[in-house]
Amino acid sequence: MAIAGLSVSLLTACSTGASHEVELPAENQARWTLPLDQYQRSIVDTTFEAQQILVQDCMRKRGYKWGVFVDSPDVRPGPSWNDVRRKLFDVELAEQFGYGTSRELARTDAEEARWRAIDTANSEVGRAAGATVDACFAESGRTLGTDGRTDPYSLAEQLAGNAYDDAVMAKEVLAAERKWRACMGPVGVADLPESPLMMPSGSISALRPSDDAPSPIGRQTAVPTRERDVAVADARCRDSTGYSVALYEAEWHAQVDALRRRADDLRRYRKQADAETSRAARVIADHPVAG
Amino acid sequence: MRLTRTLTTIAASVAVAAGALGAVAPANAAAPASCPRGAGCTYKNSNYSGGYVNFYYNVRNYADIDYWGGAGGLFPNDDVSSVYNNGTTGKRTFFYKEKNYGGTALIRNKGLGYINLANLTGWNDRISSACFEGYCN
Repeated sequence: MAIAGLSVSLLTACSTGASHEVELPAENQARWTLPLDQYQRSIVDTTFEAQQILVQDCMRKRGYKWGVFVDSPDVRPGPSWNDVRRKLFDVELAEQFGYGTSRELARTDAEEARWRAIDTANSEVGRAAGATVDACFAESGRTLGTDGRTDPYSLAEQLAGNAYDDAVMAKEVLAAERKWRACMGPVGVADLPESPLMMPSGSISALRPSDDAPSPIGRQTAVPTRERDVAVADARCRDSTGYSVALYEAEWHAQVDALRRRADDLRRYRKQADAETSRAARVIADHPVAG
Repeated sequence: MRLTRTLTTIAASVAVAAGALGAVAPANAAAPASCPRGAGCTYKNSNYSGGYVNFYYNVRNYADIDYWGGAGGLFPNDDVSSVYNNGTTGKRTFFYKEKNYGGTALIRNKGLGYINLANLTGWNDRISSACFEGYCN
């Protein structure tokens, strides 16, 4: 069951003692939308594109070719991912990808092939002319203001990690885990773990083990039948036992608590992040991409 | 196919000084000598030492790997204590708490690592999958 709601404000106190309102997003379990998302880096990241443009300029001046892939301005996350790179898992996704994922961005096969070709060529340049590449990345970092000792997204990233740890141990979540195990019993996974978060189990993962390779283009949905069947049953059990709702709600409330505690710092970092994004937008606007 | 095909011989080294939250090694600080150019590197111990698992695209599930490279022992899943992004093209690396890129991620830009995850609440011995941006599949 998806949870969706209206956005609300949260009153927080900052270090000066004054109160501030912090906007919370609308709850949306299907997209796993959480309060700290607004302080985290988007999966569609213009800073990366701006950095590549600047590196291309720099490398060209030094006699090297450096490719830049420019995504369509309206590119969206792939179906397995939310806006801040959280992997989603539901019955529909399990039917398509098993325990795997879609591409991170919803590119066409042709776009993905072009992105990979550029990345492969750049990797070869990076290995052959490492010092030059590093110097160009350092230069781009100075231009974009991303070479400082603080990453404006790190605090939110860390708070989100802590909130997740709290959520998975919440008593409602642990109770739902027990129901999930009972629900999964008839599926016949011999090494069924205690928690759905530990799926796929070893026996299911062994059907498609890690191989340190890109997923073949056009074959993300080539999933072993047994993996697909277990993943779909797993997703259904997470829903029917209330596990997904319990985890989402626990994580939401843990993030609200974190936001209340650190709103002042988060606001400060978001200003820094917004400044980086503005500089990146100017770079993209000012530089025609040679490809 | 087991991921160990990507593993290479390494010598442990201490290279950059990363700190607690918010204080990270500067970009382009020297990479650990043990981390090949182009790779994302994960280590059993702090200081980029002990056993290693290196990847160029992704590790969908550390539990698929039976042993650490080098003399690191068995079972790298939930056993990583330092990480480094020595990629060459600017892609970020993502280190996830759950298999198949589930849960929340620890993110490192090119030329940055965490020399001791014990200094980062909730991350020491917690990594179960990892990938370079664009290859989390």
